[in-house]
Amino acid sequence: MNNDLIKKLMEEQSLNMVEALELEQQLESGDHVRLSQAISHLPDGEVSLAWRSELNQKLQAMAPVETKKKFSLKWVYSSSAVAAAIAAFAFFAIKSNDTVEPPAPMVSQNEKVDVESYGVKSYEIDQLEINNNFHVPVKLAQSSDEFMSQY
Amino acid sequence: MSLLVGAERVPARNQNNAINEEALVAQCRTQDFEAFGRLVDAYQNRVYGFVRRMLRNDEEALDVTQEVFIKAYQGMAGFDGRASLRSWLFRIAYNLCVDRARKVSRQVKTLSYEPNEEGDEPMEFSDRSWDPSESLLANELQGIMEEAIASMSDKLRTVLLMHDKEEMGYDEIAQAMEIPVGTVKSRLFLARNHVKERIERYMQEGL
Repeated sequence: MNNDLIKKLMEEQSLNMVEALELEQQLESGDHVRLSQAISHLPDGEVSLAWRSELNQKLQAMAPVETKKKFSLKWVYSSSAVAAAIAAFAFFAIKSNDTVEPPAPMVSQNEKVDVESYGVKSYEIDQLEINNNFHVPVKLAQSSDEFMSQY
Repeated sequence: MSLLVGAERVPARNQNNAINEEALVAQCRTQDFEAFGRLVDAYQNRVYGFVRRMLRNDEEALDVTQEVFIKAYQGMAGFDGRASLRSWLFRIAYNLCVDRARKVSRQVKTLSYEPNEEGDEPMEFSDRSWDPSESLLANELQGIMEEAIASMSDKLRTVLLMHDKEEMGYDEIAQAMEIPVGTVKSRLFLARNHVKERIERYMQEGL
């Protein structure tokens, strides 16, 4: 390629048909193609996970209200479902405890003593009533003669 | 329905990761966060690689790359699909790089290209002992190429990276940079010659 054409290219002047064709040929020449391939194999950049996470936060902050609403509704639904599941589990757990093993009556030592005392007392009362029922009236003697005459 | 194979270059990259571009774009237009995440997955490293080479500053490049995807997310509803998703993304990336360069008042290095005084064929290689594709694994040569890319002007670098690295067509680049197709070709020629010159110099010094 001659210097005039190179100068034209550097000054970004418009090219005539012949010059344009020459430029085209140069761009497709072996050297240019090899160089192009070499450049295409240069490594890309690599962003970190932290970078990506930061970008996600920025994008989420800009997310439209509808998306946020959807997100919050989803959260409400899921948390309600979890709460309901916990409540149901607790209910059935209590229920199953009731049927399997009924709670034994709790009687304290003092209560036992009370019951026994009550039994003794009521026995005494019964005896007293019996005694009363079989009571024989005794007529007191007015004098020694009367007393002696009873025997 | 086209496949978004551009996200993972063929044949160097795995085609299994190809995703349906149209469906993805349609989902992204509805501000589908998950779909947009897939888009980011497909392009994040390539966009970062492009921006890093454009800005030559890793930290800045990370920020700008995030900005690219944020802009894309905001503008997805307005994406008309006339250009490919890839060229749309790289257009955003290019514009943000230009803005960033303006903000920091970066001095745009102009390409110092001195034609050979002897005249014709100043850039022709007589020595074909080097072959970039064969020497690709040599880190040293890659380093020379990276240096050469970094040392050229932003205009040339953009065209070179978009065409040779990202495999965008002349039309796509012209559209993204809002320049005529002829100018894209001119810049590509100059950019490649700049890299060739650097490699040639390196090889001569090494002999």
